[in-house]
Amino acid sequence: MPVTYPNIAYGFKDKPKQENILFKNATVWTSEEEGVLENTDVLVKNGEISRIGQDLNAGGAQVVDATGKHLTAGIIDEHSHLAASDINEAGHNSSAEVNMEDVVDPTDIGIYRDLAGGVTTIQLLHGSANPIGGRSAILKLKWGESAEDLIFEQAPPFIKFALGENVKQSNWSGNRFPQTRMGVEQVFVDYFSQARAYETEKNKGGEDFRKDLEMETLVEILNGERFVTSHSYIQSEINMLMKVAEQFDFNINTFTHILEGYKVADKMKEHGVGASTFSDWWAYKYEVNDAIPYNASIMNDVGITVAINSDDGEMSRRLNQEAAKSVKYGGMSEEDAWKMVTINPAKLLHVDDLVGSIKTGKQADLVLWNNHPLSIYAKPEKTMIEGVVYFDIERDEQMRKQIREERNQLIGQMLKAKNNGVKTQPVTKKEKQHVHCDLLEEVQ
Amino acid sequence: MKRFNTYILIILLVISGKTFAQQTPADKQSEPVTIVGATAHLGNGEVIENSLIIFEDGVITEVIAANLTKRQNPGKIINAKGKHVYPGFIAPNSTLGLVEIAAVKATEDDDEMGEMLPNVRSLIAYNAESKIVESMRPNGVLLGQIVPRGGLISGTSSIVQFDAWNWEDAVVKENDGLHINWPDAFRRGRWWRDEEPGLKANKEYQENIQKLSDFFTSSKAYLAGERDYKNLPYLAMDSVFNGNKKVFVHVNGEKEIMDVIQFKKDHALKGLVIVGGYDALGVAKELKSNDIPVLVNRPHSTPNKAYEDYDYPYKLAKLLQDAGVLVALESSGQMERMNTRNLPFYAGTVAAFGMDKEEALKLITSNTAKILGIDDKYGSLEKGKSATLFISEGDALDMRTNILSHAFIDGREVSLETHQTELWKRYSKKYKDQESK
Amino acid sequence: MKLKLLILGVFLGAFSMQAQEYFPKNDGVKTRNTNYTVFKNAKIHVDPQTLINNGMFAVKDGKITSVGKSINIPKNSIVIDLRGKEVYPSFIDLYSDFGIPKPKRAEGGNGPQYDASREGYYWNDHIRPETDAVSHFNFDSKEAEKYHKAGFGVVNTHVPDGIVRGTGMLVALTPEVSEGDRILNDKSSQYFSFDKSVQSRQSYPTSIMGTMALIRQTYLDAEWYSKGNADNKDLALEAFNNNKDLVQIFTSDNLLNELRADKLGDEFGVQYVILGSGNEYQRLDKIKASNATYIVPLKFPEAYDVEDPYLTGYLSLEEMREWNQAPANLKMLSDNKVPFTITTNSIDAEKDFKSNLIKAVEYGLSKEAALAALTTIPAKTIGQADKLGVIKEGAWANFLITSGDYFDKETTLYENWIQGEKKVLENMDITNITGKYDLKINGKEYQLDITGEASKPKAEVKMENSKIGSKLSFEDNWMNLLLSSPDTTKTEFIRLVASVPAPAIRSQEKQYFQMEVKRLSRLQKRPILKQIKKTRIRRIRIHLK
Repeated sequence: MPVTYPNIAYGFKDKPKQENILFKNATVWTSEEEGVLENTDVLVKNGEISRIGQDLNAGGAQVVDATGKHLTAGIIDEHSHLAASDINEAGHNSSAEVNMEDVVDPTDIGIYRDLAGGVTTIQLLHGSANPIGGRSAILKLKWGESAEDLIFEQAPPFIKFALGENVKQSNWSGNRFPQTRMGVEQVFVDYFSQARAYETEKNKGGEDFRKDLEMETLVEILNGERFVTSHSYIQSEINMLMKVAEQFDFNINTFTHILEGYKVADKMKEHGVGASTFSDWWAYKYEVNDAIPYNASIMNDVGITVAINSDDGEMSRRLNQEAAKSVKYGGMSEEDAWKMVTINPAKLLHVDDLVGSIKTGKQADLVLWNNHPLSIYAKPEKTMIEGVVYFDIERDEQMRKQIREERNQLIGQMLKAKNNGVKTQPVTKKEKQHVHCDLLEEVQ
Repeated sequence: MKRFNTYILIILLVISGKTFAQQTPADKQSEPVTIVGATAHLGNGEVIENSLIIFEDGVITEVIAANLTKRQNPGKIINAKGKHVYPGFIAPNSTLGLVEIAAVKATEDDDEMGEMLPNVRSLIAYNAESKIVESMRPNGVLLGQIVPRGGLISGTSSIVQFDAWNWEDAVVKENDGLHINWPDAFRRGRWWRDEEPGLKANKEYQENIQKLSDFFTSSKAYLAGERDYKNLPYLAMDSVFNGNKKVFVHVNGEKEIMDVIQFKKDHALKGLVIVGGYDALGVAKELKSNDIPVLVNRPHSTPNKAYEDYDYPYKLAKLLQDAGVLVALESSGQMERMNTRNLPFYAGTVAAFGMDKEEALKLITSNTAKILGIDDKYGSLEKGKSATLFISEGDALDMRTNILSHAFIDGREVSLETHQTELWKRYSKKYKDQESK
Repeated sequence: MKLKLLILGVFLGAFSMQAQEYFPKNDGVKTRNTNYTVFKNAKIHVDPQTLINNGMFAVKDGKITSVGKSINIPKNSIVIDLRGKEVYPSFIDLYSDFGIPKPKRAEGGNGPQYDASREGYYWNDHIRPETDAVSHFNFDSKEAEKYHKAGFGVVNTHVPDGIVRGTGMLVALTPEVSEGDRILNDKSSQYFSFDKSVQSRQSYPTSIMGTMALIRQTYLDAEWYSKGNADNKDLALEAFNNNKDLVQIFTSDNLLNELRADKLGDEFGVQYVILGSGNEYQRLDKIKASNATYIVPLKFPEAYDVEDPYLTGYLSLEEMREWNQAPANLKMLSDNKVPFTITTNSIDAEKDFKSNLIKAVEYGLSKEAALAALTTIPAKTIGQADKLGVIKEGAWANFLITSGDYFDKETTLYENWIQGEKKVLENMDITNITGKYDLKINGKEYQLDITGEASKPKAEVKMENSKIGSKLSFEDNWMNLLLSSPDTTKTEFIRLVASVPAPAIRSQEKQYFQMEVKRLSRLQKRPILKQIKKTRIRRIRIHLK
């Protein structure tokens, strides 16, 4: 049996190549000022969006007739735990020295399923076990590539902070400081003070300076070289973190989950922080008591950059539907709703000059839908990253057939082996794991 | 320390219950109501454009195309031109009202200790004023089957409507179903006994099935006798054997389902329903020939095995229906209570992956009603049935257009305000006021 | 205690087999073996590429003194004829915990432990570079025998506990000598892993990325410490710095971790030798680009029991494919010129090593590459090129004597020589008595058919096409054959005993037999049988007196 990349179901035997494609006559959702363009062509060349217009010349490109279909930028999921071998480093209350880029797992079938749902970029975040978490990894979902090659090189460095019940170990027994929200503030102030002192030491030079990876990361944050995305729920802690940051002269970049963000939207706007939220989850912990699905609409109206995220491998592939919920909850316009999963998360991740919208010169991360992208009836037909079609609904059909045949073949071989007296081992079923912010074990 | 905190929490919840007022349940229907001009999705596969719907005293008296009649429209008239009317959606296999916040144990009332508990009833623990129940109505989910969890026989469920002062007012069908968690043919390796981790074939599977079977046989025997000694669990089985209580078996594996079908035959059970049915496709023929319907698990889940089609859960309901099985959707699983308001969108996804929209609608209306045994009154817009319906701006199966203006349960117009809409309005106003300053 | 004294004595002079030369002797007179042992007429695999047919080599004091097509045979030599046999350099296993007792698990306690439990060491208990295999080592003869049977002569052993595990030692599996003689290098390597130490309950790190960050910080701290910057004494960091120039070996058990380990090493200018998973074939380009030498286990997944169709639905495609593809892993590594050695770690050396090796060869691994992975490559990796893994002048006398091509299922491993000491596994002078014979006893004719391996022959006896019950046992060149009487009414047995003479007068063609016939009722004198040619049927006359 030939090896596929990755070597699991739906892996590629031959990795797909970059193609030049002309999408003809689509309804194009630019996620830019131009809005939604009808009957428009988009030419993809050398992995970039080369031209947008009407009746374009294909040149040597393959022509895809997109009449009646919708072409959008690839969906960006700002909060994900897919493609990782591990989620939480819970040994210390601050783990800024760890890096999620070290533990990327390119063999997660969730990547393929996300592509089938139109997602092209994700931020793989550290879990929420600590107030100061680990550095995140921003990935392009290039199914088949190795772990290193999934990393979105041009994306700036990020780190995960966390507030809320998880960091004070409310839902499992613990004896680690902090055990209350009051303590959480002190953790931040303490570590940042140490970081300032460390920076002074470092600048002095000196032979006896001890390089500390954790402090190095914190200093980057203080100097605005690394951006903070903080898991947060209730308004008191949201406000607290903004004030702490201001005290140390830096900005929080994004609040994620931010389910009570609507209560302090004005303060958030002033501070300049963005929001990345669930569409409608609530009632699972006490701190989400006041979570409302209108959160995104309210914050958007106040002028904050709002994105919709998943924090869940299942929802990730339906982010288009989650974004659509804001049309229902709060009356957001369809264009604004679509921006919440494209250009807005791109802005939050500071990659909006490269991805997130259909604009000439940007990377060709595109999705071709068979229906209005915010509709429940929409299905992605092609998902492309930098000009390479990683998901194609027709190719998927064929792969299903191949997988069935391959399974039958291998089963036949194993039966034969058993008949020849070869020793066999019993089949074990793998339990479905729900990978979320609070997972403390290794990912299976 | 922990106990103290729990008490504080309970007090807080009680207080909070008062500060954020629950919506007041609606009064009985006092005058007839006529809805004019909407597209009526009857819930049985039919659609009537430009319809006329009239209901009085809680019962639908007319559902026809408006141009077929010239009668005077009685009572309160709601002009719904351009809008859509649907039967109220029904959520089976739910724990709404039994648990308020999953992380707070004091609010959990869904799982009683013990193995064989047919006598344990969900109805009397149902919190009719739950904030989560309230949040179902603005999405069109108006009825639900409230089900206990845990153990081998979890208990007895009841069907309620979601606008009531208390459980007594809420009940639509009391003690409608017995719920069984069919044993797993796989068991997790017990690491403390030095077994390997991962799920392996369960050697106790047969034993457990036998336990269940014996329980049924013993209770039948007991019920045939004098019943001097009051054996509560056996007594609760009475309605199962005389056909008044259906048996809902929660099972997913193909082999296990075959065993369930055999179980039904062995004990001559009249109404048996499979809940879950993930691998039911392989035995769909047997399910059809034995008249066993399936409540399919929520389509918005990921496939269990890596090599399965990525859209397998999306299209499972359709595949089963094509094979002749009576299918409806249920939404149990992660965050099941709050996610039940997404029930219409589960049907929408099934429609996206091959089923006709009106057929998909049946999966949360008339099919569900049939399976739960309440189709005499609920599940479709038909003359003589209960006026449990709602008006939506557009297609109620699509997120963008599932926007309700009116909802009725048994003819009473229910409030569409919730704890969440209140917060929304309050804070929107705050920012608007700030802007104008 | 005794061991430490020996180490002092052995120190750099580990090559000297006369280590005990200067030890006083109180149980007899001092003797020393100063003779040479010379092997001739052997097919010698000098190294994986070089073969000498009908060559000879000499061994003295545990080392090979000369080898070639023909060498000068010193006067004080014992000469052994290896006609028909092959000589291979014995194998080296670079990943082992041989002779090391299992580390003791820390006792449980209330809640997680955040602080370190050791004082005077690094702030994290799982960094244990000060651990050395030497002080925990105890030669285990039973375990060693498993290695002997698989053809191994030298292993690199270590304490398998901790993220930084401390030093490993290179030890020869020589039986019947003292520790001082066996240890080839007391500090040969330093081991790393992704697994925490069981001896500590310290919480950090709980994740893979935490482990990697910890290792990075350790490198930084060790450098900082080496400049004399710390106020306190840190024995762990000191040891870490001392181990810097050793071979660095990283343990892992899955493909992603292998690549992660290499990434770590590259960040600090260290090229790790990496214990592999057997799945390297899934990402060959990255494995090759890593420039690492891989220690690959010969563990292949077993076939799954797929008779139950319901259960089979739960079997993932990934698992099925691995069963199908894993045996070809070594071939693919070899084709892509990725340097690798083979280890018996995670398999039963005695039972599965040879069969898995042969399977890998069946799946395409060249015998040359297989041999190199067991001899020259590990020798080079551990810094003993030309001293181990080859049959060259100056190298240790570690070699195997086999009955034929090692990679043949039927081949027997006769002897495993380590440091010039012989370990006999199978008697190589066993005469092969297989063949067809005619027996004539008491006027009755029998046909005797002996089949099977030379050391385990089986007999089948027929008389005029009816089978006669028989039992053959053959040990130490004595043969016992028990026949039941052809007359089934009587419970009579015929016992035949024969001795097969020593190989000195043996030739390939002819064999001699002497058989003694005893009947239960009567004892007779020993008759003499005539010469028998191996595959021809001859008459056997038995004279009864």
